[in-house]
Amino acid sequence: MSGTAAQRWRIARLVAVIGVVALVGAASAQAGGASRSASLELGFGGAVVADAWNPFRLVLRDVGPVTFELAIDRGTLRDGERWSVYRAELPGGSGLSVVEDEVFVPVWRSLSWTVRSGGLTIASGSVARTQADRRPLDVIVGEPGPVVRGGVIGGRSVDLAADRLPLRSAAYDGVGRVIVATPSARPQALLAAAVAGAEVVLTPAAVANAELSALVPAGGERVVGAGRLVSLDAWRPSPDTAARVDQAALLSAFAAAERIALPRPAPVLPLLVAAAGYALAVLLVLRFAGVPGVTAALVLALGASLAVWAPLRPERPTLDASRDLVIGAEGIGQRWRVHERVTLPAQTLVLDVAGWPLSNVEARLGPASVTVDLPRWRHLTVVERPRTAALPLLQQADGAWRNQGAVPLTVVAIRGGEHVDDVPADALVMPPSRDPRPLPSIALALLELVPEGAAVASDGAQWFVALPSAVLAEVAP
Amino acid sequence: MTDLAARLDARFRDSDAVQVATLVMAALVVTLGFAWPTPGQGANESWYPFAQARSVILALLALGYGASAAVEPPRRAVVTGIMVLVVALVAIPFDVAAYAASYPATPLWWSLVSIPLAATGYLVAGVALGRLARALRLGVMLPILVPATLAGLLFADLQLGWTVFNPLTSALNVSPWFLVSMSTLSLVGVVAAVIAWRGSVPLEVRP
Repeated sequence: MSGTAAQRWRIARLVAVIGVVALVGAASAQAGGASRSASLELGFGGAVVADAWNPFRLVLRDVGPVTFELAIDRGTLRDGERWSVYRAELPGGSGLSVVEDEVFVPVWRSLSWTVRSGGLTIASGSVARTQADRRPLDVIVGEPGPVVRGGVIGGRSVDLAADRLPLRSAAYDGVGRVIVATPSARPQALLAAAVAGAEVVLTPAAVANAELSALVPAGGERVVGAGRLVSLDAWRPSPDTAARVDQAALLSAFAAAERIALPRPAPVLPLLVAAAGYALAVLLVLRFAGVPGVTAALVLALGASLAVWAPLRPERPTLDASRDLVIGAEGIGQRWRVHERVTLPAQTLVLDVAGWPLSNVEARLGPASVTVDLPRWRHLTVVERPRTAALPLLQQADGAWRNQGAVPLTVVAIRGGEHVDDVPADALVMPPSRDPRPLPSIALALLELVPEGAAVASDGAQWFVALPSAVLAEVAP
Repeated sequence: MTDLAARLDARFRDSDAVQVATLVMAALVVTLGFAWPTPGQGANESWYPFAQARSVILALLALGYGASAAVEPPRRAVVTGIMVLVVALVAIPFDVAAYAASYPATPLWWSLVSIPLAATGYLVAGVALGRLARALRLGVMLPILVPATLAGLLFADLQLGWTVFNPLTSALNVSPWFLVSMSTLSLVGVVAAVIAWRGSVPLEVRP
């Protein structure tokens, strides 16, 4: 081989190697782009709290319309698989698209998610069963220092950037504490966390921000909703979040009390007497009235059918009721709306709400829908995603309760105190001047679970649990 | 028409007609009583067992009378068929009562349509069975062949996984194949009855 030929051969080899490297590089870049075109963060920083509403953040990059699916199996060995599938159709588009929402995550046996676009799965993942943890989460924003970090050791904690704090209170359902050590946190997010029942601790670094320092009095604390905001000076670290009222227990008791009653069957004895009477009449006319008797028997059958229809037929195939429970303090709280349905014929029930069925049934969920296939004569209770709501009952500085709402309260009951009927709008809750009516079963159920001094009230449409400021402060050690 | 009325009048005065109608009514009342829930029970499921019991009782009745009508004079056989149909129709209020209280997903029209249709359909099937049995010189076996045929039809449907003749499954759910089969049999029965009526002799008018 001549020198020129060898040189050509070397150049050809070099070109071939460069080509292969370029192809491999392009392929890997494409593959990397596909895997990066969608990513999901479920929970706070990937930490999921079981049996609670969790935030999720889905980031899409340069993909068209996608289908996001989160499949959760909460079955048992005895009952088998029970799948609940959350599905959302998302528009996507060029550039970066961020979708944030909340989804209820029960204790799962299997939890997996996929993002599909045009028939292709562009991203997927799963969360191990061993990570199904019910303990509330401590969210640490910024660097609070070793002393504060030491105060939350023992619980579950996760570090989060300030701009990743969600603004909706539902996202903080599973959060026990939010420790803020940066001035860049948004006050709306902290208020949302407190309303949901979290204890929000503001370090000196946080109160350097005037907006954040305005949230709490200097060196003090402020009760907001079902939780509180507290400055680091007043905060007493504890291994758990004892200051929270158990909202899940309150909600369970609320949902279980005064459920829709199934239609009562007609008593069997009168039914049998009527049936026997009809049979006897038909037999008599058939036997003794000849051909007119046949006509009479058929007319009798028609009349009897029409006569039994109305008294025995339940009015509607689906019985429904919805009621609200607002848990909080200082005029604001977390509203839990409970939808109860009873289906008499088997049917597919669709509720146009973002919610979660309390019973262990298979469900198809969406951003604003719950679909469940129900068998005959079955109860279904769906809890809507919580949201912030006004609380009319307010405890004043002297300890007295006041209805500051525009609607009269039909009943107000104080745990450890007395109960009062009919408190007018914008009026103090005065001691009863006469014997009050017996408490409804919902009030009795809630009073069992609220702390001493808390008030349970209703305006006829909604129920309220108003937590006293003093109790929250006392419970914290 | 006068002849039909006279024959119908006479047929309902026959002791077997009264006894069978009484038996059917009593069976349905007892079934309703057993299926009806007590006040403590949650769901009212009474329609399901009642509809199945009603369906089987009427199918058995129609099949049996059809088999016996195969040897009767044509006009008497037609009147027997009408009698079976009337007994089936007067059972409807029991069905309506159980249906109203149970609130099943099955439409009411299916219950109302399938009752007379099944009665006439099984009646024609019974006539065919009676004629076949006699052709094979097995007429004496009819009391066994009637329930055996019903059981065989039920078993065949269950084995094949469809609802064409099965009175148990057809009572609870709308089944187009059952509708087709029973409608066809009923149509054949009506045409045969009209032909038989026209081709036979009316009652003798006694002075």
